[in-house]
Amino acid sequence: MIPPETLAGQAVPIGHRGFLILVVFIGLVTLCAVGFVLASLVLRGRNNRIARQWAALEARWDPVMLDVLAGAASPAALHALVRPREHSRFVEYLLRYGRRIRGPERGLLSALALPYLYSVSGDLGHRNVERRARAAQSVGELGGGDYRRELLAALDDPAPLVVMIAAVALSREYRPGDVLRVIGSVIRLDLLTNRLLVSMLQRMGPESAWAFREVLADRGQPAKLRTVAAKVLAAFNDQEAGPIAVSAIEDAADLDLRVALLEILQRIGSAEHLPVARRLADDPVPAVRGAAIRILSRAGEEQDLERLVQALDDPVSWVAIHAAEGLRRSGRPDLLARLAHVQRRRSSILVSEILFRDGGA
Amino acid sequence: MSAPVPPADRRVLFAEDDPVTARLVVHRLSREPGMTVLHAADGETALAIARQDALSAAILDIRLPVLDGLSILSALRKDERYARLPVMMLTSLGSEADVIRGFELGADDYVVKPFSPAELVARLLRLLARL
Repeated sequence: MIPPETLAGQAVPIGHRGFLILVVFIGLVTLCAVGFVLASLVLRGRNNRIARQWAALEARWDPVMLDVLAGAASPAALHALVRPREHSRFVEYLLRYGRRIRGPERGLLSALALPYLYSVSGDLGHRNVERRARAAQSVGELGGGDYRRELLAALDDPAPLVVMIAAVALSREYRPGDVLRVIGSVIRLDLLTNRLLVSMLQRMGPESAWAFREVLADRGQPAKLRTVAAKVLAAFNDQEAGPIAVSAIEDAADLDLRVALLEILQRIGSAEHLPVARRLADDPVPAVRGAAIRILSRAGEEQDLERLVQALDDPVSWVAIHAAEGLRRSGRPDLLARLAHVQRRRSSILVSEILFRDGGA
Repeated sequence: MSAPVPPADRRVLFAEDDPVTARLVVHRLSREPGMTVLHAADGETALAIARQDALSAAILDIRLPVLDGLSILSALRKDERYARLPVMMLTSLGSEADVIRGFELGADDYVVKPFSPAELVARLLRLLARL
């Protein structure tokens, strides 16, 4: 074994060895720095080249494209400017407009894209997630319904991003045969809030309500799915969802689901839902209690006024606010006058303002 | 029967920072007889154009660099020349609060992005016809 202080049979003094390590270290750092500079130059050159290519394509396509969208030129005039190796670039170019246009011009964009979408639709099976996502976005935005089958298949993609893009595209339009599959995809979209999911799904319109009712009534479905279905039905003000909500609330253990079910009852506000609301008005969970008080405040009867008065002292201020709104709506000047002289323990200034707004008392 | 007389020079300020939307709208508006479009990609430029030029109408995107569309609208309404100027706001989906604020500040109409360029032009022409 070579002793640490010798190298190739020669003795190296300790000070020299430290100097050698320093030189090697500086050499390595310099090499890395040069490598980074070269890599950034290459990347920059590549980006500039791509930007130049795009600028040239836009300069060639834009004037005709704008005329086509204004109805002053035919799609064929623009197709004539697309060279064989530019098909996927052309789809990408159309996508830029697709994100910004609605109305009759959307049909023109689809007509422009259709002959070239084959060049990207093959990427729906690519192993790279980004390529699959881009392909789903292209056929979803520009396919005009022609790629519905491929988008439905994309709902089973292992990547949630691809599922989300496909679901967004499919929910733009109501198709009775597909609606249950689109709703079912929600369970894969953990990254999206319920609010976003509801806003996405409700674009299918009230004619799709039957499917949401089916999901809501099925106790075997995951709570998240049923919660979103309930929220969509509430947004539709769906009267037929009332009995399902009343029945489902009996055994709904999930808090979000229970609140969503009460949301349906709030929206449709019928007297037949009052017994459920009366029972839940004393629920220990503020979200449930608040929703129940809100139903009583909107559709309650004479017998519910006393419960609303009690709710003015609820420890949760917004429960008290719902109660105050109901009392104000009751149009009972005698009751409001009585309340005006009661020193409430917890009701806020806001509750008082709601109660006596416009000289209500 | 005489041909319809094209309207006099109408100068429309279009404040929009997205280049694709800007190209679309500028091209579409410029096709209207007697219409000149003055495009600004940020709020400050938009206000400078408004001060130098005599506008017939304005289309303002709410989200703009430097100075947003609502601030431009507010500044325009303080200028006597533009107290009754037809102003249309461009908003994003789900920004109802901006729409309400726009109406409070004196906007005449609004269009939600993404939109149909044909519809935008039709709405603008309707506003201009009221003058």
